[in-house]
Amino acid sequence: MSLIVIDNLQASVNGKPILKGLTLTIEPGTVHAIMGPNGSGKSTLSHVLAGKPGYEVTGGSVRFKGRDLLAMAPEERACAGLFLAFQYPVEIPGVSNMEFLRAAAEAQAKARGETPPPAIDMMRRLREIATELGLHTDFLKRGVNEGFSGGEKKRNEILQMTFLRPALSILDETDSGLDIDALRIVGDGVTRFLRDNPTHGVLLITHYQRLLNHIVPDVVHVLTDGRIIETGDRSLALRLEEQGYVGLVDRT
Amino acid sequence: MSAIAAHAWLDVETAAELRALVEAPTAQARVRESWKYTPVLRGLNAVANVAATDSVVAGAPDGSLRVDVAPTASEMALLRERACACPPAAKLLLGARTIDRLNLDTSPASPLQLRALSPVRPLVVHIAPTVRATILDDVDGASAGWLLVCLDTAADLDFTRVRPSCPRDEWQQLQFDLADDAQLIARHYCRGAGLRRLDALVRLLGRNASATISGAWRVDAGDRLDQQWHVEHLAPGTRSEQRHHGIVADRGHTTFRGRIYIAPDCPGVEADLVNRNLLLDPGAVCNTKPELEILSDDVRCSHGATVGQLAAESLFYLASRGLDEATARTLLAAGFLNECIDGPGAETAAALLRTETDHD
Ligand SMILES: Nc1ncnc2c1ncn2[C@@H]1O[C@H](COP(=O)(O)OP(=O)(O)OP(=O)(O)O)[C@@H](O)[C@H]1O
Ligand SMILES: [Mg+2]
Repeated sequence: MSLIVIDNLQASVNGKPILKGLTLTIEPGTVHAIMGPNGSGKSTLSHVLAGKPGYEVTGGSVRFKGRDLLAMAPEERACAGLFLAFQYPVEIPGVSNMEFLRAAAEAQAKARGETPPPAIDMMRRLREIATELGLHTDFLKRGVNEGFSGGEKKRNEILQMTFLRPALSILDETDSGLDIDALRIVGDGVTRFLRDNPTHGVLLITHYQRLLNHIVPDVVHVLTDGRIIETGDRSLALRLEEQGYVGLVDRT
Repeated sequence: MSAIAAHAWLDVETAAELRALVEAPTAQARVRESWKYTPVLRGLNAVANVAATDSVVAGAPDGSLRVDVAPTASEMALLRERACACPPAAKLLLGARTIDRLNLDTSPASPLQLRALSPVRPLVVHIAPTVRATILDDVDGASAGWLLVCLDTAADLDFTRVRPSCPRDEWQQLQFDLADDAQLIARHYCRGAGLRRLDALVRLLGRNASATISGAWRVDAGDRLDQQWHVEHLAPGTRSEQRHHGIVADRGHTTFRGRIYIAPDCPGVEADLVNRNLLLDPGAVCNTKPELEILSDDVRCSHGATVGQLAAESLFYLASRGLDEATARTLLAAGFLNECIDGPGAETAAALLRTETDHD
């Protein structure tokens, strides 16, 4: 079964249509990349999929692992295995990263009818992941994203993804704000995650081809004005880097 | 008048003056302001209705505690001054002949626990020069305590009070007087009560004295909490920093007044005050009022008060990780209070402020 089937999705914000018939299918074990100019609707797509309030779906459908995604509450989507790494992660002062992720893991396990792992195991696992991602373990004790630098916030999103092991991860510009070393560390982290979880999928939203050197996509899409106008393999990203969106839009 | 005269240490004129204040509580504008949201009679009754119990200061070093003693002239002056500004204090003073006194002449090896203070006798704590002390004040049961702490030169006090919710009315006075270079950390964590009224006064009397104050509370059910924090900068180079976070839920009702006073000729003063409030339910009420009276130049002063709700962005972030709304709200609310909670009573306080009130 496909991981996610997005069919002719249309959505508006404040009555303004942003997604204008978007179709996209992701199979287990694949990495899809979406590239597109500023304001084309990439984050809107990620928000609509994650269930953020304030968006009106005006047409189309989304099936996630066979279920009607749009009928589910945001937390149900998360518990079913959908994860969004935010373009702008939110700061939650006073709630430690550790406490937050434990609560999330427990809620997700409960929703799936599983017993959550013992707290001590979770803590060990979190320390392990933090170290892999080059985050000092002190970050686990700090408030969620509280006072984190831009790059640290992005790494923290990947830490959460690795810990929660979602079936489908949407990474919204996780590469922006990362320095060169961090980009490699995060890229390696995502690649390792996919190797350890071979049936999971990733939807990468990015402006830059350089992330795709670290996380090699199976499929690349170009989104402009709320629609996917071109789909291809990795070489499409390279072509975009040379020609820009303008050349592509003119040609289609 | 004869009943008043029976208080040996209280002269007749002062007693009459106090009584006038108590019986005509609206006479002074200052008094009126501080009792704007809480009927002064309720404060008075909270004092009048409590039963006397024996005073115990657990863990006080041997000989440092004097129970039931007459105040010295300087203590008396302090008590009188305080009573004139606060009618319930006057009422309390009229009923009290004696005080309890704790003298800390050397630094105690471990934290002192204050318990079951007599509701009708002021406790005066003297901290000698350069002495360092930690006091945990988790007063149980009904009480209308009056605690006055004098920090002598370069004394250092870490003070925490944690108050659980109670269905009765309760009124408490808290005062800290700081001499040169004295340092205070004061933390006040509480739930609501039928009425819980706190009149807190921090006087920075000596050069370079500093006070760091944090407060956190959760008031729900039909509980009320009225806090009046006065910080007075009375010497140059004094510093105060205050952060108070409050949650009002259900039909809870809170009042916070944070007054900062900077006296004339006090350059180099720094004073900051933040009071943030979260209203969780439509029936909850919150009054907050920061007040500045700055009579010196060359000072730095900031204050801010906000009343808001849980941020939709934060709720969505938690939902996107699998937390249902109730869990997300609980976690966010706890986090909001945690920003103000630390020190030796932190765990007790965090646990106390996490749950919902069950007394009704
Ligand atoms: N609340 C809103 N009200 C009106 N317009 C909005 C609102 N939110 C988003 N938009 C508009 O929707 C369009 C798509 O925004 P979106 O954030 O999805 O773009 P994006 O492709 O992620 O861009 P970027 O590359 O800059 O991140 C933009 O034109 C934006 O201004
Ligand atoms: Mg975007």
